[in-house]
Amino acid sequence: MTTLKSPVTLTIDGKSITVEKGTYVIDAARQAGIHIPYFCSHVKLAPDANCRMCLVEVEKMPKLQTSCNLPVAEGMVVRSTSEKAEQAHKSVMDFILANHPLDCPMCDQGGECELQDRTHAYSDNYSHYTEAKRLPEKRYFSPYIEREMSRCITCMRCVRYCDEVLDVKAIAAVNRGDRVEISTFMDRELDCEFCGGCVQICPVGAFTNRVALYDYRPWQLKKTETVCAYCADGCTLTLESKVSENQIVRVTSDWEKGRNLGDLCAKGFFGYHMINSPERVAAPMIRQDGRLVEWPWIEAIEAAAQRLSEIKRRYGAEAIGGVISARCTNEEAYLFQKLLRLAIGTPHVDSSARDGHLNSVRALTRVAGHGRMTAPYEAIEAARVVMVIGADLTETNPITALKVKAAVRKHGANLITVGPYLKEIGPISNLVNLSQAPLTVTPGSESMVVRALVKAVVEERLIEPSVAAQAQTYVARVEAAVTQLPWPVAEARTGLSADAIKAAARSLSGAERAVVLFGPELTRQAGGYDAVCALADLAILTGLYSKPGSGLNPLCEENNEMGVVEMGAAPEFLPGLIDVRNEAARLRLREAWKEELPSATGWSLTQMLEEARQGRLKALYLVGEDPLGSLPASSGVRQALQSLELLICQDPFLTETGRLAHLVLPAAGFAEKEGTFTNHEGRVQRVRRALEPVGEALPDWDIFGQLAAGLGHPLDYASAGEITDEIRRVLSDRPDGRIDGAVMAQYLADLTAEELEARYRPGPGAASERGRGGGSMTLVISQSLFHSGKLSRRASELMRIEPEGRLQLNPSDAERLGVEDGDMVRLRTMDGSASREAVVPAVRRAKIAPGFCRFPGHFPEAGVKELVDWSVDPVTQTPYFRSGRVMIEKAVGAAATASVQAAAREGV
Amino acid sequence: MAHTPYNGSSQRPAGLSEAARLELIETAKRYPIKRSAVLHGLRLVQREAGFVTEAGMRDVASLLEMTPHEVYDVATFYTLFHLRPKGEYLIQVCRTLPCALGGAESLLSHLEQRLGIREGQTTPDGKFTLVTVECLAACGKAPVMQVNDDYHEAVTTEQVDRLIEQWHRTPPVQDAGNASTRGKGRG
Ligand code: SF4
Ligand code: SF4
Ligand code: SF4
Ligand code: FES
Ligand code: FES
Repeated sequence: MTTLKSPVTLTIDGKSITVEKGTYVIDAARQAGIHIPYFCSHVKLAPDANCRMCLVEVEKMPKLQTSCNLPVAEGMVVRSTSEKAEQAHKSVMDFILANHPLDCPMCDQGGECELQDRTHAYSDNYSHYTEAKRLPEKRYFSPYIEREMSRCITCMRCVRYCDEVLDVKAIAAVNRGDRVEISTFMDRELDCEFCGGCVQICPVGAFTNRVALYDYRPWQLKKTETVCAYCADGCTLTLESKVSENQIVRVTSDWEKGRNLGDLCAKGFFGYHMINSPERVAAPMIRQDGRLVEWPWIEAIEAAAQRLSEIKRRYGAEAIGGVISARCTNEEAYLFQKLLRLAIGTPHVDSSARDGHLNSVRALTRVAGHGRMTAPYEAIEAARVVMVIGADLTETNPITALKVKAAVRKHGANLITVGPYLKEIGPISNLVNLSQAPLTVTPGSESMVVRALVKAVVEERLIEPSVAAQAQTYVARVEAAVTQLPWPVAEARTGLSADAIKAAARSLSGAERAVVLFGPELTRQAGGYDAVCALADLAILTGLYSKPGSGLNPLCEENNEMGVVEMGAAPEFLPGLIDVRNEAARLRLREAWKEELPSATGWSLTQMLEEARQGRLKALYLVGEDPLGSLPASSGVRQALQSLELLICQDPFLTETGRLAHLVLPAAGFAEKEGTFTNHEGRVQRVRRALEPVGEALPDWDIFGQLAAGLGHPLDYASAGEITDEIRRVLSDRPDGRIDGAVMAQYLADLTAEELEARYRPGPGAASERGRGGGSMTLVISQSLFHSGKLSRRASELMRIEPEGRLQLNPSDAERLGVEDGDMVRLRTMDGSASREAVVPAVRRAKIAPGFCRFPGHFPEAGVKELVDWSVDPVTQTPYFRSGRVMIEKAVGAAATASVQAAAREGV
Repeated sequence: MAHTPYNGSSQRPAGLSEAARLELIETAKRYPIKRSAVLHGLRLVQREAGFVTEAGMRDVASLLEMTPHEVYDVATFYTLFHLRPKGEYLIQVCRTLPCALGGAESLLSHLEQRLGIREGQTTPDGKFTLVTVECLAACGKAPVMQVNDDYHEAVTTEQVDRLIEQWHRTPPVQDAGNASTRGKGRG
């Protein structure tokens, strides 16, 4: 047993129990295996004591007590099964049942209903009431959530959850007494984050999943616990499926499990239809006379192997490259790089993590030995100061955002948000509202804010003493470097006062436990690598790396970005984040694999495209990647792909790139395979198979194995588990959340004054400020809460919630342009004499700072991605195509570019 | 789904007057948390509009940094807030036990008959609204009814007829929205 800080001993039902001070009696009982009945109490919520079900008798207390909000006391004697207590349980049941209908046979909660269970256990088998039951009028609520108020027992769990956990407050208790109904403002249709939390937490069938309405009886569903395939928050969820139909019926999540502890976002809860999407590719396809035709697997593999061998023979293995999606499992990424490096013999292997995450990994690996979060979710929640920079966290990482909300709302942390964002109360929560002193900055200046914070830390002598003592040279060099950045410049660029920056720096360094989270608006903007390096300086200097409970946390977008890079699906890294140039480590790997591996540093995704255009890369093997669909035309991606002699696309769907492919191989989705994903904390979590793959689709790892055999270089694994075992063996020194002290010492010693000087030189300003496009507004391609890459586009319910991209802009800018919600606007950029434009609907968001606008990147057909600046990071080869300067005007009578092109696209 | 924020600057019907907004902002400063002033906000809305309007609730929400759902939650809890327009004269008949024994039911049916409306309704000319309420805390003088801010105790049908005559002739003293209980006995 773990030792308690302040133990309190009490007696419940004759059993002596010792628990931590502050524990509620109901929880103390639970720890001792004694079940006190309850309704309104819940592990996720603060006690509310409104249902009276948990009444117990306590010695020396005159009346019965609600055990859910009664803290334990030394020597307390509690009886939950005394006659008085049992009588109370019976009468409470009687009261609740007085109004409850008997529609269990057709209620979706039937079989998992807390009221059914308690009635069975605690109620007399007859009622004292003969009066009519209340029958609230049935009114429409939402397409996603079904409301049946006659079943409501007014425990308020839903309302409390939406407030306490989500900070959304989209539902309310309307009216009073026995007329209470859970509803919205003026009984309007529900508009919220659609996290499904209220559905999950409702003990009865008053709130149920309308998308799955009447589709199931809970006990008939097969339950498979796995990890969400959308974002890197890494939520554990349960896929509930009908075996006979091979279909997911609904998704749930266990309150006690996973990193999310039962919380999900709309993508996890309602986004499962992409699995059984009718758009899935069911069979391999080969291009014949310009058309893709279905082909048997054996021959498709043979064809792939034969053509790859042919290209290797003619041009050498280095004319072949491969890119894998960060949505694939660790096992698949590991096998993919083995296939390329060993079976084919090429060093050119990369992944979609190149798109920003590699900036974090490259910078942080230099500093700390790995690129994972150094403060896990628990530490975020327990932190005294949390800074979120370069991410609108609710939209990019909703569950990580919940941890930040808990830090502020439950534990009183000081939150500092940094971004072009303002307060806004709306159907979607907004961290800025929880920040006492939010730093609303000029869009695109986030990296300048980081540098200015470093400057403030050294100038104000806020340096962590141990660092100041141990790394004097480093500190002196940083001090020298930041002198290049005068305050007036920092102020002008960021739109913040030096005082505000200094105050934030003081909070960070003064906090007992501080956590900094950073996201795409740093890592996916030009200069991303340098920005993360500067952020690492901030972390080192303020002690985020040395103070327990503190940390620097990179946020990832796709679910397994962290994993695929760690598995070596990157030209610069071998499995285990080993630098390919590290001769000794390569030899160790050669021992383990018993094979020679290519010694050259390979090409990144962006370099591969360039080499294809130059005619040096002849074959490209894409796994789950769709560069044509995601990159702007200015990257020259189409030309690159068309120059290839062989393009293989392995994907669950036929993508835009797939339409150009010579060979399309149908891959299984995440629900159809086994393996592991690594979330951005660095937790490796099991992915389990819930369904049989659609059609003839196969798991990616299986296809790699077959292809390796076809190439005459077998990589044989009977299961994904065998690959997992090999990974464990080979990567005995896998990094974990702790930092590598030796690496850090080396880094601090090696870092040259020149590099630091370059890092803190203000330069000509961020790309977005320079603005190639010449407009007056800064455009950022952003992420939406309801989408994830383009995968969510295949999820019918998410497409119902957010069917199109809209340009979000500040109401004052909208007013200036004469634009109302839903009006079309034309975005234009001028690049020399060439002008490009896109027409999209606009929406006003008070949250968006004036001069800033953003468009969700999940709708590339809208053409907005063609307006942004394209550049490639000189160090990490990260492609930047997320921002630009645009002119905006109202487009009267114009049709959206989106709808025109989407119609053409979807009309396949 | 629109996902429109509640505090966007959309054009909408007027809620609180400028003076009331300022008053609410001032009141909110007295509390550590702004939202504590929500009852006062609703009271201002009702005082200005005669009832709690949608636009008024939105204004209160936005000034106090709450969602409109939360304000609606509060507004629908208190019976002294009216979510629909009510007549110039709001007649509240107590129906709790002492008044029920004292003849509340016949008082109510007499009123219904005289005004030509049922409980919960408003006369077409907007003059009268008739509702029933729980104990008005004047049980000793049952049956009791409250009309706007005035209490009428031990009410008889003749008295009702007289009062209705009088009300038809004169408009009420303006402070109908004032929800405070300034019950003054008269008998
Ligand atoms: S955000 Fe929506 S789905 Fe989530 S708890 Fe609130 S009302 Fe329910
Ligand atoms: S809808 Fe469900 S969770 Fe909400 S109050 Fe009613 S019974 Fe409780
Ligand atoms: S998308 Fe991310 S936050 Fe949402 S359920 Fe999946 S892992 Fe969790
Ligand atoms: S569980 Fe304790 S009062 Fe509801
Ligand atoms: S019962 Fe009518 S005033 Fe109390």
